[in-house]
Amino acid sequence: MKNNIYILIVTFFVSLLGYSQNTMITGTVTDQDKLPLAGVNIIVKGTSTGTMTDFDGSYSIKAKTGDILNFSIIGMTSKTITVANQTVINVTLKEDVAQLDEVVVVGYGSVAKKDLTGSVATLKAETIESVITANFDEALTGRIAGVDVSSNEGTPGEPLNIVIRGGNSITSSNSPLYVINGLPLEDFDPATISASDIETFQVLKDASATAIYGSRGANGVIVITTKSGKTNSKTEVTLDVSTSLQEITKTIDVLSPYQYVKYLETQAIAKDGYQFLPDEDGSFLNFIYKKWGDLELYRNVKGVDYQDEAFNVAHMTRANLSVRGGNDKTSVSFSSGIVNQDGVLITTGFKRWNNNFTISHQANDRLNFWGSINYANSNRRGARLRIGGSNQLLKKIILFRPVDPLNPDAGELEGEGGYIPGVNDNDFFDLFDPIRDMKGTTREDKAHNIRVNTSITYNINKDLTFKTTNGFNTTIGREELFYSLDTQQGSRSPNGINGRIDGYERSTFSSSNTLTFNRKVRRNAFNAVFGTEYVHNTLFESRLWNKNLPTDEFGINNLNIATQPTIATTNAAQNKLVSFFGRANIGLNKNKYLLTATFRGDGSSKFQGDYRWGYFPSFSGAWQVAKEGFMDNVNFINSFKIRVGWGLTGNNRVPNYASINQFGIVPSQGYVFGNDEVFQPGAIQTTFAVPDLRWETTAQTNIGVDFSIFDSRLSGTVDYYEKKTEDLLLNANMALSTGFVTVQQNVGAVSNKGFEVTLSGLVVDSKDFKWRSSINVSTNKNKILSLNDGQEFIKSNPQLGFTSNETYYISEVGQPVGMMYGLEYDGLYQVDDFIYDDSNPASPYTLKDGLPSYGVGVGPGSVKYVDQLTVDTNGDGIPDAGDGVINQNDRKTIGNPHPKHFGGFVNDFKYKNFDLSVLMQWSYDFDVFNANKALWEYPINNSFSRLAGAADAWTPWNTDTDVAAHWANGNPTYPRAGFKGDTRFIEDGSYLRLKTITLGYNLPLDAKTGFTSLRLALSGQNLVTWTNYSGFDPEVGVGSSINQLDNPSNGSLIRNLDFSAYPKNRTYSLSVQLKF
Amino acid sequence: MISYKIKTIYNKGLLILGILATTFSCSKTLDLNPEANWAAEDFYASESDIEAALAGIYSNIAARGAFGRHLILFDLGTDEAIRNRDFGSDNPVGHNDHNPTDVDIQLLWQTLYKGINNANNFIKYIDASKFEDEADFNKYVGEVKFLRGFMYYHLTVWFNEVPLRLEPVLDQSSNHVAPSPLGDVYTQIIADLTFAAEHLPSAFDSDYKAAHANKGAAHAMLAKTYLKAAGYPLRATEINGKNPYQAVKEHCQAVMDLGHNLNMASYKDVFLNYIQNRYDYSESLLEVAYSNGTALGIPSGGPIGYINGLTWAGNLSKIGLPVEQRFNRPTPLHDFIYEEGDTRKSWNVPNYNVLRNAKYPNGTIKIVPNVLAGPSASGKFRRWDAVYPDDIPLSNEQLQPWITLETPQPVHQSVTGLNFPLIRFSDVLLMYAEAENELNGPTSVAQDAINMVRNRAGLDNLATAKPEAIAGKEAFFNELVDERLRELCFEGLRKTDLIRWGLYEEKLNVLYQSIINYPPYRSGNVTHNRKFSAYTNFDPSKHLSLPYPEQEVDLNNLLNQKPEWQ
Repeated sequence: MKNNIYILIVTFFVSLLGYSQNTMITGTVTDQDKLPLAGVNIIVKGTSTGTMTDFDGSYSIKAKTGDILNFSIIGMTSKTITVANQTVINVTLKEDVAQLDEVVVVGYGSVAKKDLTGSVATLKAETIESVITANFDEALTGRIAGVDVSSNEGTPGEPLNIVIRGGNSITSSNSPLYVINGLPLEDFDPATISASDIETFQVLKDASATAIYGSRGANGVIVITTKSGKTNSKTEVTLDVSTSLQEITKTIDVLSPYQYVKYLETQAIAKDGYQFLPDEDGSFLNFIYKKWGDLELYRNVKGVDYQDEAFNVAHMTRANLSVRGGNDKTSVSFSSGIVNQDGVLITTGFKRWNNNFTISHQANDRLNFWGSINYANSNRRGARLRIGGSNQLLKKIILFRPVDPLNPDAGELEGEGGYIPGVNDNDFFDLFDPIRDMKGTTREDKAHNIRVNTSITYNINKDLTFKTTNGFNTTIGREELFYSLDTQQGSRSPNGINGRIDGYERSTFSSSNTLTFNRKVRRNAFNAVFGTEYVHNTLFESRLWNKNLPTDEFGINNLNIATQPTIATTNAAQNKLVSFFGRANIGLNKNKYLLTATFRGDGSSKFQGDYRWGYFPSFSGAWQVAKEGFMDNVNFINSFKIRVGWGLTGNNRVPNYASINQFGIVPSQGYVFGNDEVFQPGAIQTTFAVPDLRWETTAQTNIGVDFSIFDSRLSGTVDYYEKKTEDLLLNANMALSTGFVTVQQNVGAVSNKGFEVTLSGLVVDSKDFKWRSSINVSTNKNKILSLNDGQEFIKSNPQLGFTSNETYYISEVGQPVGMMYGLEYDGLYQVDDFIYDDSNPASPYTLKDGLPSYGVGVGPGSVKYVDQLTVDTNGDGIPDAGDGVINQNDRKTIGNPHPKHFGGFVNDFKYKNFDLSVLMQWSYDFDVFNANKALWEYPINNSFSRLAGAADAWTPWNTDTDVAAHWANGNPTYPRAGFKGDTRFIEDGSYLRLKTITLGYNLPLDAKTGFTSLRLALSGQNLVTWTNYSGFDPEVGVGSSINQLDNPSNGSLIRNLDFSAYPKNRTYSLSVQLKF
Repeated sequence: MISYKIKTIYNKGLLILGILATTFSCSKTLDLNPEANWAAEDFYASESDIEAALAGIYSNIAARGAFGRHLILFDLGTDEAIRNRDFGSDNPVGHNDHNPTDVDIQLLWQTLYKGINNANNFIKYIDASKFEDEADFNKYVGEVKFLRGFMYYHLTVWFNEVPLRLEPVLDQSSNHVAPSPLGDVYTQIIADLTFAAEHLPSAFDSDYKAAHANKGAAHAMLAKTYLKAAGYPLRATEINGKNPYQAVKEHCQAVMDLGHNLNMASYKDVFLNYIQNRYDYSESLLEVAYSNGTALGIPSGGPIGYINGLTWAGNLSKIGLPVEQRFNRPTPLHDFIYEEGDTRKSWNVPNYNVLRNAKYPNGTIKIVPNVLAGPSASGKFRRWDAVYPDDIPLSNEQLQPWITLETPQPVHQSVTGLNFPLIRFSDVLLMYAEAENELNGPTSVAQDAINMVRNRAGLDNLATAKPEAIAGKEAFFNELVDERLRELCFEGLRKTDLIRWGLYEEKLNVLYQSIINYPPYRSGNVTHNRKFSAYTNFDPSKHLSLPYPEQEVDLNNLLNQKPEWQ
């Protein structure tokens, strides 16, 4: 790893102190493969004399006999050579497996990895770059211990969820703070950065690392720096091109045409009271036969497979060009890249175009200017599978009938109007052909992102450096949604052809200013940073929505032809953060003992009065055990470090003005007065602010060990952490009689505890063959310690549609957040459970004594649930009997969405010019709520198609099944409110995934070709997933975003919900990288 | 040397810190006020704020949780009307198939309490010193107190004991308020409405603006409150120091004294006013006001006539047509409860619908054979009518046999401007008759009141047409029970009436008998059986009041679920 800042510092010292009258020594530095190494630092030990190798690995330095030259570069083991009489010294550096010399960028500074006292994980830029994904975040899954990177679903270009060390917050966001070139962003879109522009990627995990970010550090911090040019280097041009094919990994089983008509037949028989009345005029079965004709006609009909039409093999292209280089004072880097990804769901896709220009200029010995400007243009287009209330696209894809009636005489049924499939079916008037609907809908989220980072570094003197970092990040975008005539909206809804534009402008300006002091006194080193920071976030949103356009010819581009407007809406908000902070690092006795203390004070406009300022300290220490004298004889241990740290961090992600009681005009809360019915806009209390709203605070303790053994062939890191988050910023439920459903307040506490283990080893290291292996495993135990005053649990309703309002999730004190909640399935009621009159087909079924019933009457084929023990019969305070009725009191926790452990296993092989990298990734022992199945499998009284399971519905002649009857004892069996989620739909989601395989080949190039390297690679993503889960994919969780795209407040409460999610895809890629 | 360095560091450092300190002169920069809303202390400062605040409270009455849907649908499942959807799990209350987790129940509770909290804010923060004329101040407060009383009335008729919140919520401790005893709830409603009755203008005053609460409406609501207190569950013989029936009479008398009367010549005209956005204060004391603002993009429309309209069948595009979802279906009782010549029958339950399909692109009027047939629906709040309602064949000879009643046109498919009656003068007359009968039997005073209602419907006086109905107190009461159905059906009153009379179970049995003895009924037909689900599922221990919503029980430590709903 090359590090720009390190180089700059060295260059600076070199120019400052590079004087000597000694002999000139020259040479080249190469790696084990005899490839020249550029940028190797060469320092005459004990002096400040130094230089650096150029592009060809050559160097020259003045030194005298007896001087010790130190050759070092990040990623290689340093080497020292004592100068004898030679003038040419050629050096070969070995790869440093443990990479302890690596410099880690921590908040407002950097430190050598070996001197770290906190828990910081680093991901190699090459790793991120080599995985062919649209955005870099997709390459992170399974790579870093303690970092859970998961997708809600597979929508192209959607940002992934990154949760570091378990979620602290229940209803606030758990996403980390991003710091891009020193610019802190709470709301970062991974599409605004190109994977190949990333120079360093670090995850600050524990409080000693994140407390310097104070009120924004509790969720962990991801620090990204982008590539700069190298000083004193040749201009290097790199071109990367890849092309990929993507496909869905699985389809869901739905009723085939024959199964479908048989399903309708069973339904009709059920409605006729399980009497077979094919010829009785007016019977339901008679109607079905008249409409559909001989059902055997459908046995071999192919019908329409809507999944087949909706999903296709899609193409993705990624290309990136960069030009980097520099002279002794100035270096530049330019890069430009595009991604063009078509989604596996038709009409969907993602495009982005990134441009980055970075310049660094050393004005004089003391002054450095650095600046970077980044422009990204992204476009996410196409249908949202899960959006649309009860009209989700996936629902249509699954429920739309696979076949139309083949019976040419069906006309007689439709009265005098004649029969036209799809027009005359009342049932199908509620659904619309999903393919036409998707094709007729235009949805695009277009965003322009501009990010400017600047910094000026001034070395006041040898010890003291001033740095000012200023930057802004602005995203200007709009989401366009247009329904043409050939859509359900356009042709059947009162809105007609309509178009909507949601515009937004989000900006962050940040300025941080630091003074850094560095001093070495004999064997002890002292480093301190003091700084201040100012952040200003602004937001402006607007919505235009015109309806009933006479034509869809002009799309979104001419909404002014509409005949029906809506009131345009706007919204503006801002927040500010003012901070001061400091850090002191002390390294005693040649860094054998390391101590770090940080402190930050944050003042936020989101809070009022005494609650405005929050203070966040941290302390940590490390002991390099291997440096102790008693370890001198333990030769196989190269390094052994124990780290201990504690600190406080905060979370301030509440709406901007949540601490202020507000009254506002709400469009839907107006009223009409007077004979002429004039509309008076109405104002209500829109925000109920609790007076003492304040920071959510997380205290974290971390104990860790870093070691490397056997010539650094095997290295590892083990961490244990305990976090306790108090004063949770909870969008807490209120007693509804307050007039509010939820209110932002500080209540409750949550704890997270976990282990992280990472082991890396160089298993085989021969000349031609190398095998490197790395495994990481993480556990996290999450527990709610307390909730709102007097509240024992929060029940959450994912709002799966109009007719399914039910709290499927519970977060209970003493339990983890977001557990699945429902009834315990206990088979179906059978005929034997009832008393009835055998001779009378219309006889009602009366339940035998002792069997639980629920609400309305049950019958054979109704779902039976366990009547939980809720009644205390013997007075010992412990319920020991059921109450005979199945109701909401019988619901209980039925699923745990938290995995026991998750991790990744990487194996990299290198044979001659070939390399192979294999990433396996897993998550073990957790549950998924298969809501698709819960909602679309039970038989329902209409002619919508269903999941294939519905073919197995209970009938008197098919009793051994778990799918309810169509109709039981005169009642439809559809689950009513409170009865939908049961154990049948909670599935184990454990999976092991062959996440990534990359096979590369570096062409041996002759220098005459003009190219320095040419690499070809074949890779695959999500190739195989081993799981018992029956849905598309077990890595799913759309709870935060049913019906709306960004509602992080539900993300933790409603976990692992599979409902109308965009299926994951499998990707095959071919890529070429060319350098010259 | 060292001291020199320290000095340099000190000087340069100080300079830099000085620059930084001036850059953000701290806390003031952090005082940010909302940019798109008023902060609490800035509100109620001007007349326009007050008008907006009033509209904000009224809007809760018009909202989906109240008369915008649920209070109309919850009334279904009686001898008067049943839920017209046999399937689907929405509105389980109409099937007596609900439980504390139902969102409909939650939304009713939440909507009314939202209105109450805004009313409490208003009453607390409106500043008397800003008004030159105390009467103006009292008028505003009176109007808000009317609304608070009105919302508590509807809470208590559906939930019985409810928490009485009279102050704005402050913090999380505000979660915990115990339900008040019924007597306290009624007394509080009476206090609010009494203040309103004193200070609100009469509907006949020159400065009265339609759709606002008025003196007559306040008296009528007082009468309703006393009548509820006299019935199930409290059966009070004295409330607020008064005999409740005596109080009902007094307040009904006060309404009559203000000049309210049956102004419309025919029953149909009363409803055409609601349909066509005409106000007749003398007869319609208060209504939920909607106006179809969709053409301008204004969200002032409602669902009346859409959720409860006359059937529009056929599956051609429905955009821009006066279609409906016909949630309420008349029971077979409507076939025989009306006397010969009662003009209300044809308006309440017209036996026709429109069919518009490929063969009849302009539609055709179809006769609905019976109330169990698919297209049967109530017609009180119809958006369209036959061109000749009394002559369907002639209507069908027209190029387009139907006309749109609703104004303005063109209409919107699912948003309407129809108003919905909250208090009609007929209701006042029938309450008056009921109270008089309870106190003194079927006196001429009681008969006069019911006769006014009968006469307008085209019927003779009771003594002439139905002498047996005035034979005694009980006979007259039974007549009133039926008369209220004939006059006030589909207006969201039946279920609460039956409950206060203690007749809900009995009348559900009537519903059941009326269906199974109805000639078109077929015993094996599941859709027919589903029509009396409110009877099948009825549990007398549970279904006389709604359960408290689950979230309230979970969060409010002082409120426990009713034992029968646990």
